[in-house]
Amino acid sequence: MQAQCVSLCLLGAMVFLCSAHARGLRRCVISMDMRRIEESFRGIKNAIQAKDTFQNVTILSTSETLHSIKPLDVCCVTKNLLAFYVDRVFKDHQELSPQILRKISSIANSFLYMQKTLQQCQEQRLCHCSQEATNATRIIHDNYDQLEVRSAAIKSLGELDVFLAWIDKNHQGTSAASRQET
Amino acid sequence: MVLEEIETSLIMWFSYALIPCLLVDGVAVLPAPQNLSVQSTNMKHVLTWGPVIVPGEIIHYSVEYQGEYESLYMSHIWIPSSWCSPTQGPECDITDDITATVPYSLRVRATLGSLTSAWSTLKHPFNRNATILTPPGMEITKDGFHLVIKLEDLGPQFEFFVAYWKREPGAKHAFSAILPAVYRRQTRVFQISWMISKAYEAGTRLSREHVKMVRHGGIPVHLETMEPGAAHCVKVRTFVKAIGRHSAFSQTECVKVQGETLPLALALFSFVGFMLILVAVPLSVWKMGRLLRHSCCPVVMLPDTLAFRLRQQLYHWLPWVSSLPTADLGTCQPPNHKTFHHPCEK
Repeated sequence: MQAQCVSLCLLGAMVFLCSAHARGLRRCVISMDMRRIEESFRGIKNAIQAKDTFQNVTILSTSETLHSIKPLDVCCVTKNLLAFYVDRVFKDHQELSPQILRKISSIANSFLYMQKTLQQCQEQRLCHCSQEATNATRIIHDNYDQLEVRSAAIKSLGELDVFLAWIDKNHQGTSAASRQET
Repeated sequence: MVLEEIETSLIMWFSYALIPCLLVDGVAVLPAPQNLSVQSTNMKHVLTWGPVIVPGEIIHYSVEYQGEYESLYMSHIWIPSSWCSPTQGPECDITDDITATVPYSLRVRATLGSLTSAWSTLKHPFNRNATILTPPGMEITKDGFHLVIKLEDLGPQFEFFVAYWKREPGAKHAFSAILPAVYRRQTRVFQISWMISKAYEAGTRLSREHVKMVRHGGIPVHLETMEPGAAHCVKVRTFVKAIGRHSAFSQTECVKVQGETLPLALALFSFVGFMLILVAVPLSVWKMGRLLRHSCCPVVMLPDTLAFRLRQQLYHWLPWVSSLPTADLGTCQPPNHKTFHHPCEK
């Protein structure tokens, strides 16, 4: 009788420890195939960047903002930048060409899906925003506000490849390693 | 009769008068397509609708879509479909238009020349995560002892998880033999033992099972080298990363390589052959030896009288020879072993 109780208790304790350990290891990553979105953008990159008239200015300021983001801040910065594009950039850009419109729509809707994925992380409190993350977001918004709306929108669209590469680098590490590949 | 004629012509004039009024608007004349629906299987989405019939005329249709982003932020924007603006049949492959895992609104209208119908919109927006994923087709081939699999090509969105293992008929029954013996004990002990045995059985099955991820279908993939005599089993399912869903596993298919009997027969024949060689070689060597000995040193048989005479002469001239054994004469070995009186025997 006592031996059975002890063995049951041990089993229960093991299960509890394992689940706690797994929860501690969980990070908030977007496990989606960025290649589709990158392909969509590659199709319109030249047309978009050709319309950018302010070549010496950058909005994302990659070296000041994206490259200096720590792993713990990745979720927050991703969430903020997705909101930046969805709430401001795509709305401010007026596109007339149906081909380019199709690709921008594809990217915008994919960003919306990514936002929903990160929303779940936020509800689980895995997406905390530090001061550095907030500062980086503010720099990008300030850069955007300094230009005229249409120019700022087209410039930000032109810098999408930088943003997509940053997401790919910071969100694919765990999902790629967890699979046995051929 | 005259009244009837007047009535008919009045009706005709009234109809003719109405036609310009209907045609001026243009939009309302052609009926809008009805019963819009989307069928989606393995990430291929097809929008279908009830055709608009106008006798003698070919109707064209235009399809437009709007993602959730457009419906939230710019609801006036509708994007023409890649392949169906315009199209002739009452269906449209919208796979290339539905590029994100969000709800998409779809609408269709009919056109006939300069006439267009009203837009007919899909009742419930379509999200591609509702697609039906079917178990993939697979073709197993044996290339000698190599297990090779070829998977159905379902496009770039699909990854395949191939599970394969060697089937051992004895092992899976081991734990079912344990259970009746345990059941005779107390109930609680039985429950714990049953759980542990089931977990161990699952664990050993999992440890014997290999999983390989294949990125693309349509090309042959080598799984493993098979052991002769044992059955090797394979099952596969798809995974679509864009919607985070798996299909069900396909039916398990097992193959076996017939390898046991051939080496056995070969071994038997080799053994028999070896034994024959072991016997035949010394025999032939001995035979050859005998032939060679007798061919190079043939035995000459002297007649009795000559041999006697020769002996007498020898004893006369060399008396000491008589003390030597008679075999020294060199003529006392007949060429065969037939039984007859040996001339050297006394």
